[in-house]
Amino acid sequence: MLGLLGWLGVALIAGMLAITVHDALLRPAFRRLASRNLARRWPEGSLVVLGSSLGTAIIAASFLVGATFQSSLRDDARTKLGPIDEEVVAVGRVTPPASWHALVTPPIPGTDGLAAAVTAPAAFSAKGRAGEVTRAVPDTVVAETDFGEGRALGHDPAATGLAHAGHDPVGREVVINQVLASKLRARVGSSIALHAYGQTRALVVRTIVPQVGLAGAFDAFVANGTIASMAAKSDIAAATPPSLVFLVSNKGGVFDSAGHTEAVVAEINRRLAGQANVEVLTVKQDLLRDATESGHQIGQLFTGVGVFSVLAGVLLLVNLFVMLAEERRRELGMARAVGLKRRDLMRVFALEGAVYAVLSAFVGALGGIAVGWLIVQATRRIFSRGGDEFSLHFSAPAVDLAIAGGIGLGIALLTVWITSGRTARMNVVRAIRDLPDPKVEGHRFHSSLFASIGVVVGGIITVAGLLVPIAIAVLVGPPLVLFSAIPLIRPVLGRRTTVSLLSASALLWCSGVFTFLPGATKGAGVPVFIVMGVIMVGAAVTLASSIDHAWVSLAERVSRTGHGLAARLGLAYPLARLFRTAMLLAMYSLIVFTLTFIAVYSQILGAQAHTFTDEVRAGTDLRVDSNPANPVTPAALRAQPGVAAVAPLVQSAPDFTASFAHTPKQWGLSGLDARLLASGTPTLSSRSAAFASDEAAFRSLLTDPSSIVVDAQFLSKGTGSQPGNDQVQVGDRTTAINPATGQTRVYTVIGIMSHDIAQVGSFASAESVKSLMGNLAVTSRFYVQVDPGTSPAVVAAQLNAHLIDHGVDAQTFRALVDKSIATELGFLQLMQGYLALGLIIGIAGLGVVMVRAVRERRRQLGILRAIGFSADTVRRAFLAEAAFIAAQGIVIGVALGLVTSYQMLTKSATLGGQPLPFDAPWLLLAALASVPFFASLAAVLIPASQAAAINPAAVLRRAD
Amino acid sequence: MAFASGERSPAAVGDQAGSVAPSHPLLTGSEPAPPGPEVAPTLPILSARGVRKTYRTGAGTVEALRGVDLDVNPGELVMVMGPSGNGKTTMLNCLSGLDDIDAGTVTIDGEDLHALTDAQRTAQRARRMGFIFQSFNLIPVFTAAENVELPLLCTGVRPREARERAHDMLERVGLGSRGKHRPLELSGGQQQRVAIARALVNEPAIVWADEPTGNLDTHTASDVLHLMREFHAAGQTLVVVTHDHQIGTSSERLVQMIDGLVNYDGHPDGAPPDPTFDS
Ligand SMILES: Nc1ncnc2c1ncn2[C@@H]1O[C@H](COP(=O)(O)OP(=O)(O)OP(=O)(O)O)[C@@H](O)[C@H]1O
Ligand SMILES: [Mg+2]
Repeated sequence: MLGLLGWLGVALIAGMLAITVHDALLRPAFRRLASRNLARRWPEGSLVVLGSSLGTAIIAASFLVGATFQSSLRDDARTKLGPIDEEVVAVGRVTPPASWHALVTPPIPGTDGLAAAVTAPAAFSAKGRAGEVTRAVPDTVVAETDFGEGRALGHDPAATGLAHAGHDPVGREVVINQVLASKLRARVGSSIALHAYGQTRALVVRTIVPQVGLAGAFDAFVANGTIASMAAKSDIAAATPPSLVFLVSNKGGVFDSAGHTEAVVAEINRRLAGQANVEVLTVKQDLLRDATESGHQIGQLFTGVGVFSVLAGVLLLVNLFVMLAEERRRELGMARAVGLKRRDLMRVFALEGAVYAVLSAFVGALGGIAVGWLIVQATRRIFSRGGDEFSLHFSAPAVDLAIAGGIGLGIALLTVWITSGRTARMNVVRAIRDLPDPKVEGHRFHSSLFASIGVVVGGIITVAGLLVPIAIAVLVGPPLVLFSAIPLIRPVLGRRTTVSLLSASALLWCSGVFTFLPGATKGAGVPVFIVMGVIMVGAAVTLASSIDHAWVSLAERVSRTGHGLAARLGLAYPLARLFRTAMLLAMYSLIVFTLTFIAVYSQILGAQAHTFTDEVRAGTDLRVDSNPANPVTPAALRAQPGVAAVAPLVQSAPDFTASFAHTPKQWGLSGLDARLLASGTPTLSSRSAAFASDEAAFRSLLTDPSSIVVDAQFLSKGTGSQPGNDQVQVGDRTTAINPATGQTRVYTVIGIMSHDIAQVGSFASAESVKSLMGNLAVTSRFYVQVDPGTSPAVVAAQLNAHLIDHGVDAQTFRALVDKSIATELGFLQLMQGYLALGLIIGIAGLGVVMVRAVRERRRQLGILRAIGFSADTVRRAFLAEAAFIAAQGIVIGVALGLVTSYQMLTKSATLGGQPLPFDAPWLLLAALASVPFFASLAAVLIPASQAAAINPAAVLRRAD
Repeated sequence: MAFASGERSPAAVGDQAGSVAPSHPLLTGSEPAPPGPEVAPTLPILSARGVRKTYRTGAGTVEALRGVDLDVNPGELVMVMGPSGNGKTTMLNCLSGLDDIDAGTVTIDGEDLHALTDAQRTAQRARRMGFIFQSFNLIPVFTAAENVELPLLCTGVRPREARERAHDMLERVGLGSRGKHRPLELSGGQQQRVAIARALVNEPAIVWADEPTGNLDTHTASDVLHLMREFHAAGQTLVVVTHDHQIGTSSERLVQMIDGLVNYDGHPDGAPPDPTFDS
């Protein structure tokens, strides 16, 4: 679970803590020194704890969001499967052949139950009372099963959902689950209609059962023989026939029984040897694996974005501890002078810091619960907006909290030890006299050696990145060369020129690399842009710090106007403490950078609805799905009012394998014919060079049964989170497998769709799909063109109302696109909210730093007040200082965010199939720039007033 | 007779301070010696009457000033001495307007200092006063020149002119070449000279110095003292608190503080010896 890096981290934390605990217990002198400082400085101490706990809170929150998704997805194992671990499916049968006896007896080792069911896809509808609309649920699964057998599956009847289902339904009785009941607004005794195989049966709800176990796997249970008799009377040529399903329960509970799956499946296959048209599904194992994977991915997504907030937290932490150490210099210097060893000193400081670190990790983990809960609430709203039925149950596992707390603790302890080390290394005399440490010019040889190594390594990375190509290497290599070269060039050009020259070059490289090396950077994914952002922020902050003399002269020019005394004073401090200022700047820039980036992306995405619709709709207006057991015919659809043309699509979902996906993965495959191409084609983001147009590529599908057009995420894990190598390319081969017959067909990818918002999966010719999939391929989907001048939305609503029997679900392409964009925008909003937390950390951090600054400068403020600086000037100086830092950080962040998003959206195909036109939400960006700016000023109001209220006589008297 | 006020008589002081040193022969009846420089009789720059200051802390109240009367005339160099903890610093703070008072009046240029708002008092300090402290108290993030020009900028002098005057001033204290140095890059004596330059740069009516040589070795201290004397010779008014007997007695006028009261005010020759003085 932890991995090598994790264990190293644990070892490091344990080591640091061990020393601290040892000192606390066995070194009374250390303990006394540290505890005295803790007691004396508890107000500052609590600020340090509060500041650094924010970072931990963000980490904990990302973990909890991941855990919540995972546990909520895993909960499907309970609600949709219960005791069911494997399903043995025989399509097209309603009674088992005699040979299946072997499957049941003797019991399969590792299992504890077996139940048979006959199932079929079906639609239900319920007539409302007078004046109410008819409610229809087009996509349900209806089943017949022996309730006694079903209840006996596994050891817990409650887990099957049938515990209180009573006897098997007879006659017109139907037992339905709660979800179906609520969609139909049906109660016990309600009349509802079942539609399948061209038939409609009027049924009466006898019992409503919870959506759990079997009652989740199937939505409705009808009397034995109902499905067979409906299918027998079917006049529909091609429909998904009923299936006979054996439900197998492994030994163990709902969530921990999947471990037997391999052995059980092997045994089932052995017993079924040679039987065609039988498919063994490892439903539980698949569901749990997918749940873990998606939960992990979502958690990573949040951690990824959270990185910026966490970095803000870390920067704040470093800043606070550096301030603490600086404040302590004199005192520590005295301690050294009276004989405390350097190492001892470091440990005294580390002991004190460890107390802060442990407290902040604890507070942070607790705060993470609150933040995580808020995010989950927000996510729930977003999901409901996208129309999903997925429900999230907030979960806060102790393990995740502990790991998050541990990471926070590790970062804090590391900061503590590094700053302690820095403080302890000081020169005693300098410390006592409070002199600054000299600029480290020593270790020439060492630094040149490291610098040379850095330059060489950077060079190698660059060249390798260009040759392979690896976008991230191309991006990182040259800045590494440039930064490594600083010590080499400094003696020649001087520090300022060198640093500003090289950091400016790094900045230029990052902002231009996508333009002048499009080939090498084409495959760049989101992580590349995150790294790019970090490098650029680093370079920009370095540049801003290296041109301090420019700021000084600016300050002088400002003060020359006569009103700039406060500004002059405000700038003097940040410019005199470049390291600390750089930390604050980086904190602001990083977050504003990411926020800008997401804002621009959201804006562009939001504006794409029209384009995306045109790219998926293939010249038609509606996507019409119907129940595969009772599909509407093209002719019947065409006869509906408002329908101008109908293009049928053969629907199937074979298992696919490919060189990049070895385990078979089920994926959609639609069979098209010339009728679709008559109106247009979905847009391709890339296609084989053999075709001059998208249409030519699609036409070739009709004549070449081994050609296929796939979506960009074809068989890849997740959505775009694994960019680059994992993605399908034109020319790739993939094997489609009919899961029932084992028949295969090798397809060659000739084109890749820009978007798959209509959820097609892949396109081949109808002939090709039918011949591979047999009765598993049903013409249940249609692309429909409406009459000119007619509203597609109105026609869709009419189709849904008129064709209830067929379980018709008609939606406009525009609605599909809008829904998909809404969900994605919702997610982006969530990210923005998450980052806003980081921004709050930054702003609060600035406030905290300024509160400490007031303390640090009390005496100087006293003298300024004495020699005639008014309270107002002092206040304004503090505000000017905050404004200087916030404005610089915000400007850097917004500028780099614009540059990066411009690069990413217009120069790469990272998001969606194609580069997107660039357009920035200027108004939002203006808000993004001004709100944090004024919030920063507000955060500094309190320390500024404290500073202004200082009584000069009192502070000048104090000797500290 | 240069002193305008008859109330500042040692007799009056003696009445109140009788318990401190009642038997001292010089405590009563003796008129202070006339002030040093022969100047035409003028109004005092600063005049304090019945100034009281009480500190209230958790541990109780301390009556730091119990009715101080003092006049400072133009061109005077007033030395203030007294045992530690007897109210010298408090008097400086109260008379200069750095701190509030509980009773009495402080008049500077005919204006009641403590009737002014904080902002007005601050402006008064900026224009009319200079401060020199024991621990230099320069602003570490500013260079020497920038430190010196601060009071000028406070009073609205144009920055270019301020910089020129700051350089001139540094020249006068012998640090012409150190204008671009930060305080921490200077020695203690040099820092104190910068502080003197800062205190004097806007030609204040009165300069307050609280143990300006307290942190310096004897040699450096006499340098700094010499510098202050030079300015005094040029007509500058200074009030200097010192523990150094030699310094304290080197001027024409010595004020002795005991137990929150002016115990003696006059020529140092007439001052009562005090065994508690930590010369
Ligand atoms: N802020 C304060 N709160 C409480 N008591 C104070 C405060 N400042 C000064 N005092 C008390 O007032 C009295 C006078 O103090 P002051 O600093 O004026 O003496 P001083 O003569 O300057 O002494 P020193 O020569 O040691 O500098 C002392 O008893 C001191 O303890
Ligand atoms: Mg004093």
